[in-house]
Amino acid sequence: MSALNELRALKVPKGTKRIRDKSDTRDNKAAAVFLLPWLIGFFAITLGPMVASLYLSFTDYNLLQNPNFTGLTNIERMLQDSDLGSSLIVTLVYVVISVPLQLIVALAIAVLLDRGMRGLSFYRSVLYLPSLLGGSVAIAVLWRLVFGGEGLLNAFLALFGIHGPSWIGSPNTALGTLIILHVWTFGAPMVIFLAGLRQIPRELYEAASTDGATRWRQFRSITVPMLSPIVFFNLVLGIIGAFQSFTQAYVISNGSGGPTNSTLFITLYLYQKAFGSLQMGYASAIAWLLLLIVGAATAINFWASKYWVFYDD
Amino acid sequence: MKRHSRMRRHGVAAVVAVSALLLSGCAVGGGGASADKGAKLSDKPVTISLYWWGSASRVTSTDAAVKLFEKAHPNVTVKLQSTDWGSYWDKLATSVAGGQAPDVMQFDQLYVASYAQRGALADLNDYSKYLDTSSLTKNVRDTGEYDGNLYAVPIGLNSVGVAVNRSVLDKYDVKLPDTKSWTWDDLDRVAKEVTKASDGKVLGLDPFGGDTPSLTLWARQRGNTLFNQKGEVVLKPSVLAGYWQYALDQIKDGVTPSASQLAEGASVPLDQSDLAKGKVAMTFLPSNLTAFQVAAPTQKLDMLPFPTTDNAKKGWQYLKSSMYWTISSKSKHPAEAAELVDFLTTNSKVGKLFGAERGTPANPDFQKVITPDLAGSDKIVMDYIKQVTAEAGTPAPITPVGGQDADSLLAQYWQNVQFGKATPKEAAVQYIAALKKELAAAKG
Amino acid sequence: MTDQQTIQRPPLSVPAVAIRPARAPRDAASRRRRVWSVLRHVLLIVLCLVMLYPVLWMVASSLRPNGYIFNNPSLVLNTFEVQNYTRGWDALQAPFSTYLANSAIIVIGAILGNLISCSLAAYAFARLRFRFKRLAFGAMLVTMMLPIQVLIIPQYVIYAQLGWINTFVPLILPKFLATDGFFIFLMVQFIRGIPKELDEAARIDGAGHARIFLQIILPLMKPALATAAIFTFIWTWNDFFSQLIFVTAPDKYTASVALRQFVDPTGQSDFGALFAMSVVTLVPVFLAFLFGQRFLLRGIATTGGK
Repeated sequence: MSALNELRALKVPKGTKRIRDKSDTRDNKAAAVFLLPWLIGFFAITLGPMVASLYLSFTDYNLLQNPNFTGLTNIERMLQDSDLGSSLIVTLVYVVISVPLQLIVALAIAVLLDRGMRGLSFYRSVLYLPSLLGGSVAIAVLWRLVFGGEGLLNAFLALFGIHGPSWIGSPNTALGTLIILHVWTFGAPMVIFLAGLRQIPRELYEAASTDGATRWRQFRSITVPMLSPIVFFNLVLGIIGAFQSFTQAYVISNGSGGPTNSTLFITLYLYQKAFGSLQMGYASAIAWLLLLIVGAATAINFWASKYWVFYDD
Repeated sequence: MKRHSRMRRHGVAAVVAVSALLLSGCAVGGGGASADKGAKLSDKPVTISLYWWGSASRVTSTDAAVKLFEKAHPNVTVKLQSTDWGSYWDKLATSVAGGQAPDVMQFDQLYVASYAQRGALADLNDYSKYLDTSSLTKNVRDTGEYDGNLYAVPIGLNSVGVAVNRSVLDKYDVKLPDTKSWTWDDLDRVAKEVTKASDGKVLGLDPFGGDTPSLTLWARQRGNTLFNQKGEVVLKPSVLAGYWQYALDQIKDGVTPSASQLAEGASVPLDQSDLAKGKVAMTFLPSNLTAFQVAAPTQKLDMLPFPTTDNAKKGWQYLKSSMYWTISSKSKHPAEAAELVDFLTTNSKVGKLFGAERGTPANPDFQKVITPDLAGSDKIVMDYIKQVTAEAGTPAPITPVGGQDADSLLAQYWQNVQFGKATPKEAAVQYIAALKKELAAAKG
Repeated sequence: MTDQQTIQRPPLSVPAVAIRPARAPRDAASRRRRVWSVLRHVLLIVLCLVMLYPVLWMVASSLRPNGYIFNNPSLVLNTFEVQNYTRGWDALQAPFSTYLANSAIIVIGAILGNLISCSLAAYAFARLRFRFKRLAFGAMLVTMMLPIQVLIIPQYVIYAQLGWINTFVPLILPKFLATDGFFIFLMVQFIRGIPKELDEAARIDGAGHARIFLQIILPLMKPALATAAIFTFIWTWNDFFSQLIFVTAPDKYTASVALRQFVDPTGQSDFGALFAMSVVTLVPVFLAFLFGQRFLLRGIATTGGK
């Protein structure tokens, strides 16, 4: 039994417990040693700030003065906050579209790049380049150059007599350009997929080839199951990461989340509240709402994984 | 089961201990004892920190000014810290919260009241022995006050006007009326003429709509204003609706960029703006013309007064402080910090070094010092500020506690109007309500 | 490609008569393969151009004088403005090399920290059985779900009380304490792909967990370690917010923090210098990636034996 299986089996009947308890004791000491750095880090660095932010979400903390406990005031405020509502929708749309899209592209290209081909390392490096640029100011300039009212995309459309709008400046399309930006930076999941593909024993493909399996069939019955733990990893972390997307929207809208809040991600909104309006208490409450949502999404992911993720052990 | 609950008890205990520790830490930033009023200069070596925002172009002059100060005060070492504007406030709020506030801080009027009311800034009257503000006019000095105390010393001044690209006007042979007291109709007519004469290649105007300085001027012309001296929102919805309607009509007339183009342009730095690129002939500007001129070296730019109405109340013009120096209430060396601020705002060598880079100097002596060397856009701006000074009334109050979002909210509701999500009237009511809510939330 | 064809070649013992009819389809297959191979390269090259364009544009912009950068999507250079580089290098308080060196120190510390601490933790989660494992793993995941914006203040308060503000400690030490759940989870998934029989064989030989970890698991998870190292490099190099907050003295700024100071949205910006220094900053990451990805390849041969 490994970590993930155990996590999945959170609601396993009590009967199985005794067996595990016995073997538990066997590794406890070793586990304590291996986990020592993590334990220290968790209790000394990670847990404290998390608990503090949980407490602050029930206060009026403004960064400059001592926080006062205000009970459920922040939660009541969240219920009436229409900007928060729209930022939740924007974030959800972004996550639901951009995560799967990015993973599909990353996987397709990783498979394309896998297995001996000329210029592999060149392609891989070039394809990773956009991800190296990250959230730099240059990206903001570039994105306007491509998706602006007089950008390259509209110059291209003009060839067909189409007069395009400013894709960044229109409320209906601004989020779309951010999704494209996310997909465009597929480097990280691609590298992880590639590393995962490396781990699939070559013999499996060789055996399948001799059996006359087509490439597609090999992909379906060897690559997909063998890679499923990595797909699962990329999916879980992709969702956690996308829910917290910040830099791209910040850089491109200059922190405003505009036009008309159409790119106001929830982290951008809570950042505005925390540092712009000095309402860290309220921002912390929003952050914990986000944690609940991301936690629920992750739990669903783990629950669903038992139907499609294949573990060898 | 038993083990589980034991764990939980331990866990809870640990969590309580940690959070207690942290929250005592969070308290470091706020409240607390105020600085020693009888602060004295130290004769031992002292290190103070100076935090400012700005781009690379501000590095050299600030460095040099501080070197001069250190020469004059050999026992004081000044540690410089700087970031860009966007990062500045995040970092400042964090360091104040962590009890690590810099001694001297560059400040914007948006945040003076919020920081002062919450005890983060020192009352500079306590250090008048070391810090002389007498060279400032009363009107200017007052813009650094909150609740009767002086918390911030103005560095530079600005005032919203209309920047115009004369090269474009000349090219399409568009004549300006006498702009000394030109009206909104005049502005509209010029904008239309440019658009028509250039066949839409150059648009007349980048409209206002999302910045409180221009809104405040518009309101003052109509006997109204955004915030009163008590820090309340007193803006009338009808005034705001009229302000938006004016700009909205221009957008509909096609003499300005479209709503989506404006949204795209809202996030660009000044030197990528439509005026600098020669795409529009005029724009509203808080008199920082030089940034545009540098970006558009081939264009002849000029600064025109803010248009008005025929029956506008006298004294609607005012000078806004572009930035301030403040001292942390937690400073361990407030006397030396006060001396540094004094040096930076009164020493004529500093005046020369800074020039007009932090805005037209607030100190009239500095203005005199730099005038002979001024040329081009810097001179245009200085003349403009002098002209406004002659006409200016009492300055508009600084942004009250909790009002830091006044501009970003205005921009947001203005976009709703532009994209037809609300009429000017509806949006005006919504904006005023939202802003009032922010102020109330800050009061707690 | 080639190894595939080798494998598919019929064994030599096939009777001569059988070769002839088998030949035609094999030729067709190899032609299809060649077409597919060409197609694949064409597809990749087109894709690469799309990917490369922004970087090339950035390089081109770094060689243009200020005022000629925007509204110029072309990659063709009329002028060659090297001044952007010389000016940008010395434009801030310290020469740009200082910022690069600071970034490098933090990156090296972060890589070492992440590789050591995360692989240890990952081994425990993937291979050991212990109490509260589910709880601990869940807790690790939850720590990734709160945005940095609300954690930074409490973190700052802790580090301030320890006197660590304006040092690199807050940027490096946490990495040695496995605070990056991403890499733990990543390594867990990879360790689980390593056949358990290998551990068990070693255990029968009397190896303890330390030896199994060091001699079996670590060498086999090289691709994962390389991935973690590369990502740590890139993400730490590009990280902005925590470096901005925890370091105050300009001579301790990192490259990513320094870069921001070329642009002031309300005043004069120096985009030529910004792009020049962006290119300079990009070079080490790109080299790191080029170098690091070799280790991604090394994993191939080792995972046999299944």
